[in-house]
Amino acid sequence: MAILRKLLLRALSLIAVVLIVLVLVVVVLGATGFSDRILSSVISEEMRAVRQQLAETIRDPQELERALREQRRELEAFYGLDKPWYVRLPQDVLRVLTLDLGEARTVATAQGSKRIQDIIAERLPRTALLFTTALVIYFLIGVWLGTLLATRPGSKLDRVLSYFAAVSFALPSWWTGILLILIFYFYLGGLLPAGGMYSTPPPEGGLARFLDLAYHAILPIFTLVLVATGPLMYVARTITLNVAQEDHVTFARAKGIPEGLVRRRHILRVAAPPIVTGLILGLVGSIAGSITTEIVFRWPGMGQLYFQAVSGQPDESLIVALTFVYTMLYALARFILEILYLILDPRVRY
Amino acid sequence: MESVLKVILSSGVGRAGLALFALLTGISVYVLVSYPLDYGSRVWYNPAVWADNPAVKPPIWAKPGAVPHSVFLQEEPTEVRKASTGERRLYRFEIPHPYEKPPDSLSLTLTEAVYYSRPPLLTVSLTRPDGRSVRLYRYSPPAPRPGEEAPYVRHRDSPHRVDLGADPQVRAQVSAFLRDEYGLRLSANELRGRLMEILFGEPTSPEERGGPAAFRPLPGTYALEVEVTVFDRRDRIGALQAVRGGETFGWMGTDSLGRDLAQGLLFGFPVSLIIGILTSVLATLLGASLGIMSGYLGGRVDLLIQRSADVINNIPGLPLLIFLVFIFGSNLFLVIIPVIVFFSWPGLAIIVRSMVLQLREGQLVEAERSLGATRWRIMFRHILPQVGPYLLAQLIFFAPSAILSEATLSFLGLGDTSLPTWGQILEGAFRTGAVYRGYWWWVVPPGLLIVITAVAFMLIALSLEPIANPRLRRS
Amino acid sequence: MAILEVRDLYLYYETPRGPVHAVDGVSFELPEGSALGLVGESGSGKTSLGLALLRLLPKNVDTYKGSIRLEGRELMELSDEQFRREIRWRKIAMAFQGAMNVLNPVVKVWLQIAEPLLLEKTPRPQARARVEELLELVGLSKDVADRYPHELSGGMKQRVVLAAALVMNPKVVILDEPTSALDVSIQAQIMNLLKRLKRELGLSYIFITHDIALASDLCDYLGIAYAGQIVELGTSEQVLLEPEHPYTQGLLESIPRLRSTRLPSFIPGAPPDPVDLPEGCRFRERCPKAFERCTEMPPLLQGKGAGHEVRCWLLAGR
Repeated sequence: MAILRKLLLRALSLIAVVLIVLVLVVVVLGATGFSDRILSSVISEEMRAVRQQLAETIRDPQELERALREQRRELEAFYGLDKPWYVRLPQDVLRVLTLDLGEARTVATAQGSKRIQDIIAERLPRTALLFTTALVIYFLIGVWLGTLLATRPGSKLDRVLSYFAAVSFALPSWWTGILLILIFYFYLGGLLPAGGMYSTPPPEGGLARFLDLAYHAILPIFTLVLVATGPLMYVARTITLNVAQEDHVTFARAKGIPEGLVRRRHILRVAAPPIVTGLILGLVGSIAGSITTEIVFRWPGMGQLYFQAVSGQPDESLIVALTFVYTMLYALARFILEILYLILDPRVRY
Repeated sequence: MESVLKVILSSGVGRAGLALFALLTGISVYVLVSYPLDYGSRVWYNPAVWADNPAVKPPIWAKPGAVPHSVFLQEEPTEVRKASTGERRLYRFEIPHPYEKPPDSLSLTLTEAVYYSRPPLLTVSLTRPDGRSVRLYRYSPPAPRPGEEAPYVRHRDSPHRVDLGADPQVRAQVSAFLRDEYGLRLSANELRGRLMEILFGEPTSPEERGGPAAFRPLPGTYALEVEVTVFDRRDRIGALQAVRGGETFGWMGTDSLGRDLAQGLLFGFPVSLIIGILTSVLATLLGASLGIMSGYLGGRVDLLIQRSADVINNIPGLPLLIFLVFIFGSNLFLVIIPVIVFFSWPGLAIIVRSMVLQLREGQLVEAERSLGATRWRIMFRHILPQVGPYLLAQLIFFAPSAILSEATLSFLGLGDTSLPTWGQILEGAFRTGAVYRGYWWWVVPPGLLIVITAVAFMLIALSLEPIANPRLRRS
Repeated sequence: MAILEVRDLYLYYETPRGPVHAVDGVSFELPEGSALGLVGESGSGKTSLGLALLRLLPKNVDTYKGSIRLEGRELMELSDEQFRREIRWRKIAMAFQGAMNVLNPVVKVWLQIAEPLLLEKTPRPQARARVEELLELVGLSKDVADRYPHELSGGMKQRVVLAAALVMNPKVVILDEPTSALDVSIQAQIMNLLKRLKRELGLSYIFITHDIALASDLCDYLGIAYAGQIVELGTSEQVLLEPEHPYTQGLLESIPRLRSTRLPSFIPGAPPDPVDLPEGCRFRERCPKAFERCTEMPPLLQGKGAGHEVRCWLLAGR
């Protein structure tokens, strides 16, 4: 039961974090006047359309102006611009929390829906596809290589891969992506696509579509794996090396346990919880990596959407919604890993 | 401090890192001394500076035997002839062109013309190795405005530049040249984009070409002659500059605006080091003082600091970083660095707190306390020195992630546009599609420099692992 | 008859500064059912000796040679695999120093004790029963079986380690500082437990400790280790009552006594650097009785009669 209590506490504190971030975002938008500016520019744009419409029916210029003023007031009330931001924004927070995320201004789904909920529902699986596949691959490779190196510290392979780890920690994922495009798209004559999720036009048929998707996913996933494997491998190696030197390993050997079992049960099993901690610490970097990788490879996921929302004509509702969704996703991923940690390490269960 | 240096020097990794770091620092100091501090706004982002440079050309070492980029400058005429009303001054540019291909471009720039009565007249012609001469271009600076007093100064701040490879006047002249010399009839429009090929070549014979007019390169020495007719002896021409655009440029090539990438890359060194060092120093100071306070003062302060640390630790960095820089603007020192610092301190504060908690129970501190030392004194005299080496290791550990964070923001177009940085050079490259066209010299070096700088710090940090290890022993 | 007979055992480690003489020509006999105490300061090589007997060698071994006979069988001739299968835990078990970190933190206690049994395909219920029996034998309750190490106190962990050492009915148990991390009262409990187990199960012990008083409580024989060598060996009575080696004498004088006005003395200096040992006798630099010959030649272990052996030039006469 203690474990449930612990999980509940963690869940509550992660929910608190999501709330705090949301409030922070909304307060920053409001206090800097950014929210007002964006809303009034939205209203001005709509007013232009309204003016044209009204000009056709109302001939008298004075009457037209009055009607326009009336219209503007209505729009301001509709968008809440008649109230100060600290009145308007709490409603926004509540709205976002109930997952009513509002409408995007320019972005739309393939079906043409501008509801942010629909947009995110369309994009989230794409991001998840990239992110999760990469996570699983680099987790397996990183842990496998790290623990392998720990068995032969100081060997040539160990030294080479330690340097690789340092370099891969320093590799920005976006630059890595650019390099890979340069190599696999430009120099190797379009061996792999430079970006996008499907060829244009996308092939017909389920299997063909899936293969096309996989073909486009190779480079982005490779990028994420290349960048994340090194640090994880290094963490796994150091932890395993530390565990391997602990007394209980000698004790296990003294008991006549065969070397393979010593490795699995008495070294790797013990090293697993701190390795998961390393994975948790690396999660922030992975999320950042997935955003920039999507941008570099024009992968139409959440990261690219966020970039669109911030660059060019900024879209406030989209920014708030995406910051919220990203924080929530991160909290969720963290929570899952923390459950894993609790399962692996009996010491924190009580 | 000394012991930390000893630890770094005791491993090969540490020595490599330190050597690399020294190299980066050396370059940065050189740049800071030799570049103006407002280099970004005055030079890098000023298109006029780069007007004569060829766009997106690779470095000279990448294409041996290519037509180089050459600049010819003359401030005094080669020859002066008296005329009835004034003088004819001749400026002659010898352009050796032993290449089997035309140059990329040919341009002429007039800086400052001062006259007293009528504007001088410039006549530009090209004499080719085969002895043929082509009249290319005529120009007079703008006439006096009503009410303006002599001397009339023109083109002092905005030089007059003419691209001899694209100017319509030149096209018309060349069309006439082809008709008169070779009997070839090509309209000015048909010459669009082919002027260099024609001026630096000769038509192939009819049986050779078979189809439409073609030209073969004509290697040799060309002379670009500018005859300036002045109507008053006192009239003055500041300088004339002829530029033959090369297929290559400088040590690092150019970008799509013709900017010399070598300069931008060099300026990136001090910027990136300052970002790394300043951010990590601030983050370490903040993290350490909050950690020490939290551990030593305990109570509500502790709770507040640890809760905040926990919250910030649970925030996915980049989305919020993008958001904050987007809202508050991308000033490097006022926004970007503080925001990165804001997201960096919690981990350190948590670890330092636990170290302080252990130390606080130590005998030395207890003895001090019984002697009546104040809390602050104990904190800074006894606890800080003990966690010091660890903090130094952390400081070095922070730097690469700060450099990478800034580069990422720059790449997303959120960089500080008053300073050129490697991230921004890459952003420009990516935005203009340099990657898909294989402009490697624009894409590879800035990223490589980011990686090398980050690696220098990483290597030093790796060599400090014996000091920083508590971080890895979390369980 | 001696159950364990060690002759000229050497174990050197390789370090960047040169070889470390951790075990340097050690010989002794352990009669069945008896206890031999190996006493020495830290760094005297006594723990290395324990590891050498179980062939638990670190990666940087430089030299490992000599003869170890168990019940007359030469162990040095066995392959690593044979040694692991037949000797470790089945014949020679070891209760480790620092019980705090000896148990795997993420595996339940009973599985750690039963591990070698389960490896031999003993059915789980049987193994479980054996573990419970052992836990009771070492004075723990059965429900300790399902706990994790971090839920146990230091004394309990030490008992678990003992129980684990007994699971395969070994002939010889090496006890490496089994009580040094414990409170004095718990120390006494463990010592009594060890005595009881020796009596009831007929075990033979090699008791490795820095505490000569503790060793004298349990052991029939005492060996005094110094810088990788044994400097004095004999029955407990011989070593305690007629100590011949100045080092042994020093050790004995350092024990505080209850009914004496004499202050406990101490041995000046520190053990020599194991990489850079002094010429001649290794103890001479700290020895109050050192003379010329001690610097010239290393003394050999000499019999004084009745199995009492001493490595000192004093015995040969000046």
